[in-house]
Amino acid sequence: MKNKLRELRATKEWSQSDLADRLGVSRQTVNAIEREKYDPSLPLAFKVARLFKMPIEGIFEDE
Amino acid sequence: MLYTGGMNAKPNLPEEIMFGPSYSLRANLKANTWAFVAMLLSWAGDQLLSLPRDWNVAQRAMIALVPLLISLLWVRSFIRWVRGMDEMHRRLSVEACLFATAVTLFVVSTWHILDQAGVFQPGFLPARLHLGSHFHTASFPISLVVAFYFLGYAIFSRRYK
Repeated sequence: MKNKLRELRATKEWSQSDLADRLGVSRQTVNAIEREKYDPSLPLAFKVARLFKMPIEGIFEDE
Repeated sequence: MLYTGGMNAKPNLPEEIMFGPSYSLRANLKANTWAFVAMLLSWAGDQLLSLPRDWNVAQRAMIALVPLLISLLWVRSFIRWVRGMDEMHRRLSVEACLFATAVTLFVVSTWHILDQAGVFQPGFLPARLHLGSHFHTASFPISLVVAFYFLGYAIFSRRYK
């Protein structure tokens, strides 16, 4: 699944660790999502959407 | 698998109990203290049972089974530790556990079948691989599960790097 997490994180000038702390996951998980190696669960996707104040479909895009 | 844990807590990481740069003694004790207690009690039980004393059946059973009962506490603490991981590491750990259990069953079954076929009898391969040898203590399959867990984790985690 494609996503804009890396771009969104860059706009906030957060490191992967900063974002991981805000989401309550590990830095490795943020890295795996950004590299599109891992698709987050629905609760985590909602958490990401709330954090960036965007709809889920504005961040994640089904291929 | 859905992520339902506390999202503000620092998640547990499997690497923290594997020897390497991320190793944490605190994490290892959090996950495995009961396993260490069970190993200690198992050793103590072996020493007790080897004493020249006339233990009755109930006493022998109790001494022999205490480490197994303690290991149930370890299973509980390990499950709690896995629940404290984030969703990706929890998935990886569950996959590694399944891999470790399946491969251990396969190895132990194969070993048993080969032993039944007489492959490990004197005159063939080393006789110390026979079922009655030290290779077939209770710690043998447990050691295999732990080793295959680490192997499985290393294999499956490559998918997400």
